[in-house]
Amino acid sequence: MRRSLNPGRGLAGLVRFLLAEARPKGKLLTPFNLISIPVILLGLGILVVRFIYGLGSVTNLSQQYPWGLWIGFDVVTGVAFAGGAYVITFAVYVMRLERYEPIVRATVLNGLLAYVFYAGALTLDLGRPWNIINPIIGNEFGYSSVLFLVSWHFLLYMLTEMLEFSPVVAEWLGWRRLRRLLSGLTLGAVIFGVTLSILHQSGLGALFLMAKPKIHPLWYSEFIPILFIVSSIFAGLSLVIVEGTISHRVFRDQIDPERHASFEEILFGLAKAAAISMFVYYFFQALVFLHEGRWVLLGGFWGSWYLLEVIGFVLVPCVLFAYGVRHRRLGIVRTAAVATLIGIVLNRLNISVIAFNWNAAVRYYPTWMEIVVTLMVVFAEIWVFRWIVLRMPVLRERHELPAPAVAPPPEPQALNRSKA
Amino acid sequence: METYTYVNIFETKGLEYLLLICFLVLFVLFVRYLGGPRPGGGRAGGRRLPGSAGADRWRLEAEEGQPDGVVEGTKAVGAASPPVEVP
Repeated sequence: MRRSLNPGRGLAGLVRFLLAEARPKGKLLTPFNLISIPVILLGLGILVVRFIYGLGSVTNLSQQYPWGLWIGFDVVTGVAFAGGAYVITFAVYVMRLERYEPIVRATVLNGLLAYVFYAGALTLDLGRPWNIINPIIGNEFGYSSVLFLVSWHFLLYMLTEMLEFSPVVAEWLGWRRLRRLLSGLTLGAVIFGVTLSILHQSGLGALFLMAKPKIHPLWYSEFIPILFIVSSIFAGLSLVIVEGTISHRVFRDQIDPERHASFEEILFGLAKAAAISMFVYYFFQALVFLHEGRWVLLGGFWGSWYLLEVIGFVLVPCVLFAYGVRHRRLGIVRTAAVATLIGIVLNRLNISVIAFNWNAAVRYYPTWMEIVVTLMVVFAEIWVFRWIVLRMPVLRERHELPAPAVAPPPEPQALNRSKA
Repeated sequence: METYTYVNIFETKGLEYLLLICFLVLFVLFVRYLGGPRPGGGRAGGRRLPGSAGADRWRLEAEEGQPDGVVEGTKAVGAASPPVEVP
């Protein structure tokens, strides 16, 4: 198993260590690199054109369709996928479910990078991106705006996730005292982060409450914020299952064989939680469906499209998860996780792009350049994830959890002695 | 201009109540199904015998931490073997 070198004492030692770590590790000519490098380079070129000539030069966005693939996929879908971080940190640090401890660092890193890249991609979509700082510095405080809430939450949650991940960086740099200090802040950061997450996952849904005339009635309801929260739970868990499965193959040499064995149990636990949350989500969907009398809307293309989403990519994966857990079939659990992720992409794109302005005469279709930039963002995130995992103690080495908030129960022997 | 109508919870219909009851019943069954088959091979909804695997779910952690055969009061906990008095 590979361990990182300890940085030497002093600034010179630190610089030497960082330079050594900055060198590429592993093979350069891998299939992933061969695909991702041209896409990233092409995407960067497109972004140069976008910032020189404006959004209209590379996108099909218009006054009627101000939000396209970059918002629909990168921001709205990406944030749902980052939901695994708040679910797993809550389970490990607050509920003390320590069996999930081996995946907590990778999940937090994944959540942090998802926010930095996907929410960061928001700046690409702004006509005047330099104004993104306005809600933070008070130039244009819009207290009654949902975007004001979302922008503050994004900023605070990114800082919180950085704090949650900072003990790993301190450990990597060999700063033990700082690591102890940062580890002590983790529990508070997790509680703050969970609160923020729940609020801004629903906040993203609340953005669409204002677009009632534009969203197809099969997708619009006053419950969009609640549906967004509940779906972010199983979206995040499914991403953890898929990402964990890939990581355990790609970074095999980073992980103890003992932890490899326990990983299957972790996946079954995650699948069980995903199945339960999908069951609850399905109930909410059914309730909204009944309450708003959507029977009449089921005919035609939009009805079939809606049924494909809620049956094909919610009910079926839910049943698959349950079957996989019950019969201990890991392949079925992984299939269900992939189907769930497709369902989440479909749901978020339906609300923000596909069923948005559904009755407009001219439809929006993303240009090839929008698709390349979206792929670039995803690939860039994977590159940074891999860079960090190959260097920092994310998957390797067991780490201590911060002390619980309540005192542990007394030892059984001590109890017997006092009674005797 | 588009007017907004918000859900009035006092106007919920019988069908929604029916759905809620169905959900609660199905949810319990679903969670039990996810729990997997019992080691004894019993039916998921079958009657629980004293000391069966289902009863283990309610064991206290303190009991689980007890070494085999430790007596607490008159009750033996965590014991696979007959209780032994602690001197």
